[in-house]
Amino acid sequence: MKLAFSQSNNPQRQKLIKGLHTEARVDTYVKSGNVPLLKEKDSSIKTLAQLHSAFQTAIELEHSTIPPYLVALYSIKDGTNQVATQIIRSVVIEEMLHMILAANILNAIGGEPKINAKNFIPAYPGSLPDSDKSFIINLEKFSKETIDTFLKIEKPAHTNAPPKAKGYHTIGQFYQALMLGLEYVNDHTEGGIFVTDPEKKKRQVTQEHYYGSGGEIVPVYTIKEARLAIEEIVGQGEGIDDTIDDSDEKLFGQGIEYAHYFRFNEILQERMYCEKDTPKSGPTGEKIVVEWDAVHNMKLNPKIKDYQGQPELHEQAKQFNQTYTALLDNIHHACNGEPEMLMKGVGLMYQLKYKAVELMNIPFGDTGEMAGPTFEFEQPKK
Amino acid sequence: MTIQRSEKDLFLEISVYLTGFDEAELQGTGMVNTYYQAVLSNNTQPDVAYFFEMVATILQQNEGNEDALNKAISIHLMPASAYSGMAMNIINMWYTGNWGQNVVSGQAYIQGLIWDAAEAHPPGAKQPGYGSWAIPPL
Repeated sequence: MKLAFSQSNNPQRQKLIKGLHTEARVDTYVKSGNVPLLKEKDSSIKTLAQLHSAFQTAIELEHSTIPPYLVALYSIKDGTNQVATQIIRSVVIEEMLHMILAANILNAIGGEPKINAKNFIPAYPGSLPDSDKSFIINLEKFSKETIDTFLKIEKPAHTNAPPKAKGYHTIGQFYQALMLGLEYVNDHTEGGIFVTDPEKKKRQVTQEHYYGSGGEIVPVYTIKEARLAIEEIVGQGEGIDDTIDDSDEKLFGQGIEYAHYFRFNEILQERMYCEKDTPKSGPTGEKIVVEWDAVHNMKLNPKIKDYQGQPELHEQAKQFNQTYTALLDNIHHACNGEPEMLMKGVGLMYQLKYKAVELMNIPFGDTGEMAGPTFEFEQPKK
Repeated sequence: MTIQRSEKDLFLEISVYLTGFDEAELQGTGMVNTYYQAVLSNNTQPDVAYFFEMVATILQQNEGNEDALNKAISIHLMPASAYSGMAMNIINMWYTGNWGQNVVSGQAYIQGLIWDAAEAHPPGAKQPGYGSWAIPPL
């Protein structure tokens, strides 16, 4: 069985990615119908400093989805839920790509990504950074509720939802605001905002530094590539810019890679999308076996201080956090002038997985629940 | 107050002393249940019962005195003649995933303590990442 979501770099993906247009200028944000006219002057972001801060938030936003997706993925017992496992893994790999793409844009406009700091790591339970806080994200084992939260994270923006960098409802709105801001500040700055110094251009993470798949890494040197990078982020996440619930467009079928929202929806509905499906119809294709019970019974939102009564467990959890912190440090350096460091992070990523699964095998006291990774800042031993 | 410990709890507790790995590390392998079942199915019922009776006794008598406990283990549990070599087989099982010549389960090879002890990884599983062998540890 060829699974749609496992295809990388499929040109037909564009069928689902229509959110932001590569070649077009600001006037492409004007949609048909009664959508308000958007112009550069409507940008809420007007200075380079604000742009730097907004793209730092973008990196934090992309990262903030990764621990919850990883916890759900690793909580699935080995050898079960094969399709669900493959779907979640494919999404989380793309989130990692998005994080690097956001860092590339920030570097391209002279910013410095800050990834290895304590306040970079979100608290769970919590909301998406700078969002309207309309839903809570937990570190939670694989379950229907968890996948439902993932759908909320990836929910497409309505066509007439305004761009919003602060208090956004969907990630699409957030990136629209950032795109508008890029155009505005770039046009209102003598010589533009994109760095031209060859040394600074070397800060870009390019395809040769990026291990694995999950789409194409876009090195950003001009506004053109910045548009491409944002398009890839929004397109892979949400897919379409149309109203999701009542679109009758035919978007599914063989050879099309679905956006995250639809991939998660396949798990929740326990069915694949097929060719005749529309967003409105939902998936009506092949049945997916989802074993909701074949899951490590991980405690909800564990914190390392919860383990104080179990010193050995505490030590294991601490080691996990040290590995996680080392990985963030590694990505920080990769995004601050040493892109070749990224390859060295691969080993840490594997370790992270093995340590997470070990924690989920350790009982949490007599509660009947299991421990789990806490994703907290812990400086590795020097 | 003495708490009645189940055979499975005793199995985990004595495994800590037999393997040198702590309880959380052993639990982290996810193999405690499988290995306890392997002990039951690969030994006679009387051997199992006497073995755990002895384990309970020496754990209790030597509580807080690790040297004395280790001595008691080597005297009472380690001889090949004791309980059909059960303690030795348990150590082998934790390290290699085998009971004698038999593989205990599909996961056992991957979870063998031998890999951690050697700071290696089981070939074909738990991969450390493509090309990682060319990179010195961070």
